[in-house]
Amino acid sequence: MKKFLTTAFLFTVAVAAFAQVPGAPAPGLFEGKFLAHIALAIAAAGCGMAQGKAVVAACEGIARNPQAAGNIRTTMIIGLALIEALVIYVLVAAFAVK
Amino acid sequence: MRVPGPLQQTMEYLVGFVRTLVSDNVAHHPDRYVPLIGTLGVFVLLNNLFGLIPGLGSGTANYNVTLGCALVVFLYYNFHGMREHGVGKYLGHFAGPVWFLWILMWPLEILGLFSRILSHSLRLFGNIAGEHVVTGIFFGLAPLVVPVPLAFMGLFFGLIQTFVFIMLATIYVSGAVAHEH
Repeated sequence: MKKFLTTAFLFTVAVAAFAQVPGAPAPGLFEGKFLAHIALAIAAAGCGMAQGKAVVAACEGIARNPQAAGNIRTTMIIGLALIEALVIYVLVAAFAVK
Repeated sequence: MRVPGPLQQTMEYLVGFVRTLVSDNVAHHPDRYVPLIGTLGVFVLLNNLFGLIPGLGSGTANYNVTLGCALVVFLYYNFHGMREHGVGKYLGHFAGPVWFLWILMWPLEILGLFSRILSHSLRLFGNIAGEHVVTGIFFGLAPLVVPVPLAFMGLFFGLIQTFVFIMLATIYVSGAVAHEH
């Protein structure tokens, strides 16, 4: 797993390095859009795990008590929206990066 | 007997939906808050779905629109909170249940109150604008079949985000006008 992550990270860095236009003043690697994309990837990973946990709990609740499906679904959607909002903040910040 | 037409049926369903939503969350006089919540719902829903028509863009993909909606909701629930409890009591209930902690609680609660504007508006804006960016990127990669499921996802997300927006507005209103027992 660690090896895979390291390889993936090196590939990402390599792509970002090759994407530089020759002649243009090269910005540092860890600034600007690249950093925004990495931040968005980290935020999306955390959001995926959190939303997965939320949906698992909601599914278990509905399976145990199908009469409460409506209430559980509403609450789950609200919770998912609140979790998602954190990624949306990072996305807006990534939009704001020039 | 006159049979209601499809337009009337749709409108009755929408009004009934918003009334159920508000009366499930607000204990006293829920019908007072239905007009604004319903209007916001229709406005946000239409603005979200306009983005699916080729050549048109979503109104809510512009931050000024969602900020305006969030400001309207903010002013509305603070006004109703002050009308229900009186200005002093409404501002005082941010101090928390224990009186000697007010110097800690009050600034935090006021900060939280104002950050609701930001979170409420950024959530809608980021979802719709991000959806458009993703659809645009996929359209650039493969313009023929691939964007179709994404457009359906946009339809679904537009509905969900509208529901979340008016649901949060309802929760804010219910929190502002609730009586502690």
